[in-house]
Amino acid sequence: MTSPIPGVTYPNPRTWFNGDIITSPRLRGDFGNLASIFVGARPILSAQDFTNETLNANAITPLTPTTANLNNWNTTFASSGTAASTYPVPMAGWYLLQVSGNMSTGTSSNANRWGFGFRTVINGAGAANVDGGMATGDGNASGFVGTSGAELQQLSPTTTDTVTWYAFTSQTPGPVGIVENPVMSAEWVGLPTSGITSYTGPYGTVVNPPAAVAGWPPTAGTTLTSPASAGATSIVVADATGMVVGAQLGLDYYNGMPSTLNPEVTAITSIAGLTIGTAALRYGHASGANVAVPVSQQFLNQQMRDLVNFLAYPPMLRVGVTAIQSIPSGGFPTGTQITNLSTSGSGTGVDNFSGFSSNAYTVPVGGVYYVYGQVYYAGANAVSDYAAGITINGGTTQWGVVQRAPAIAATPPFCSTFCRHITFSAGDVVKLFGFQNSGGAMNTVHSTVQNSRLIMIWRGIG
Amino acid sequence: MTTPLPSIPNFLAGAAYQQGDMTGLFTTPMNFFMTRQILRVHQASASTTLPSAGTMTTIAFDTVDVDNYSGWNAGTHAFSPPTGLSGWFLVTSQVFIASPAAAGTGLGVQIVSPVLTTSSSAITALANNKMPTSGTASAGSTSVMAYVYLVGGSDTVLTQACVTNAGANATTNLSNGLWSTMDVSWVMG
Repeated sequence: MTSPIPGVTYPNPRTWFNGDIITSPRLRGDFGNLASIFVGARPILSAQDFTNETLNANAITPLTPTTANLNNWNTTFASSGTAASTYPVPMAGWYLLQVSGNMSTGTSSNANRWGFGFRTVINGAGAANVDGGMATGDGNASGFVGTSGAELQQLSPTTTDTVTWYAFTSQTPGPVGIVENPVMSAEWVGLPTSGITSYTGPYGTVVNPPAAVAGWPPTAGTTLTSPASAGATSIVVADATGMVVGAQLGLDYYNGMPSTLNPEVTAITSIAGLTIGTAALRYGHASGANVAVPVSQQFLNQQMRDLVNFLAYPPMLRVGVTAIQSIPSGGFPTGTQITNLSTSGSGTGVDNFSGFSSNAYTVPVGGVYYVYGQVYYAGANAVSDYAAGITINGGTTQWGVVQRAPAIAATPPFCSTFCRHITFSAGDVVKLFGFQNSGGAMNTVHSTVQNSRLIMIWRGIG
Repeated sequence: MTTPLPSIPNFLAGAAYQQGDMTGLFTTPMNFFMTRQILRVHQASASTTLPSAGTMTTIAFDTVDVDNYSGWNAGTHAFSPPTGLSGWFLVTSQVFIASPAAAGTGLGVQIVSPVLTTSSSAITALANNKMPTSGTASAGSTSVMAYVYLVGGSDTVLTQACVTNAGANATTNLSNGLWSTMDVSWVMG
């Protein structure tokens, strides 16, 4: 595999110190790699399988993508139409894995479950399966069933980690159906958190909250719009662009040189619009006096280092269940909160901004988040509806897939999913909910393969 | 926001950068990376009818939650980035229908976008679920997601749905928590 942008590497900005010279290589190193990630180097695979693969009976069927809509690192996966069915990740980090697809089924499809999932090698360990959505067929001779799924996993090329997408049906004997044009994807969404074998690159750095993007200081500085007396602890300026608390200002300085007989350098203690708090001034300064605004270490660390770190390691959450939960039979759309969620539940999780507690995620930074949830039910020998959803600040449950299964004596498990982008304010509280109406309480399923989980990823201010 | 799609900044050796230089090299692209181009729409005012014949029908989303680069066309119910803002977008779509009367009714949802980089065909991400019928859950839904490449100013993406084995037309649901949605977020240029 090769980088789509020569020389690009992991964003890893430097910390600036007083007196550092702003050089082009330093700017390239700090910001260039991040921009490259957004302009073309963020590893993404988006592929489809047009071969109409026949499903294996009561087993997973690894999918072989035949068309890579996007494979920007030119991995061997799906690049020629005859490639292997695994995707070797090209950069270490957290990957959002997704799959959506449809399967043609037979008349007995409604006695079985159908769905998609992921088979991944994580940190060099043996390949392991994890399911996405699972549904029943419609029981018609020319019927269809389709589901979606998502997972968030930390993967690395240093341990030859890979992703394989699979379809599954519990129906047997075969042939039991055909997978039709499923869409598979893997997207690098952030630097890794910790613990990758043989990895020497940077791990993510949490910046909470990130500062708003600000303009750089004006080259000629600014001016005072009202006089400042000796001993004053604030000044009023015409333009506060580029000022950061802790940095310094030059009063009666212009182009690096004193412009009156009483120049002085003072520290910024606060910024409130155009009123700038300062240390007690030694001299008085007239209205219209020149104010030099150097590009300070504080400015560079806030605007360059911290924003690069934030975008390379945005808020990410992946929690799974640690135990079985009994879900009462309910009346839609009233649901039951999913509990026993943990970053250590049902696989490796992440909560890099420490927003998760007591089965709820408190949004750490406002913006638009990708939200995926799923609830895996044990199934029942009764006509049943299943759903997954979320609540925001305890409001009306926002439901995802709401599906039906007939009475099935074998009681195969089913999984409903939720997948949306949602706008949150910092402090909003998100909880995962489930619903079933089989007529009696039903357990959820808890294993590394079949589990309930909640995933959230910050995607932009919006 | 009217900032152009950023490119990788070329910090020239020996350059004496002025404020205007850094606005173009740093502030503008950083603003775009932080904000990004995002569309969020849902359907809360008027339902879309899904014919019993199973015809794929465009969902007429009528409420805009986020459209920070004005890419939404309320007439065609499609999103297109403005000229100069081409890129890869992650699309998540969900369609809710009021519970149909016929048992065995299925609901299929697809994301439709005309252009891919390596294929001349439309991308169709499809999912299909069996629906709860009247008297049980009051609504049923299916969701799907896919990455699409959109050329600014020309390419569009929209959401379509159909019912199968319905016996009668179905209508999309409008209640809070049970409404249809389409979200499009810029991922990479």
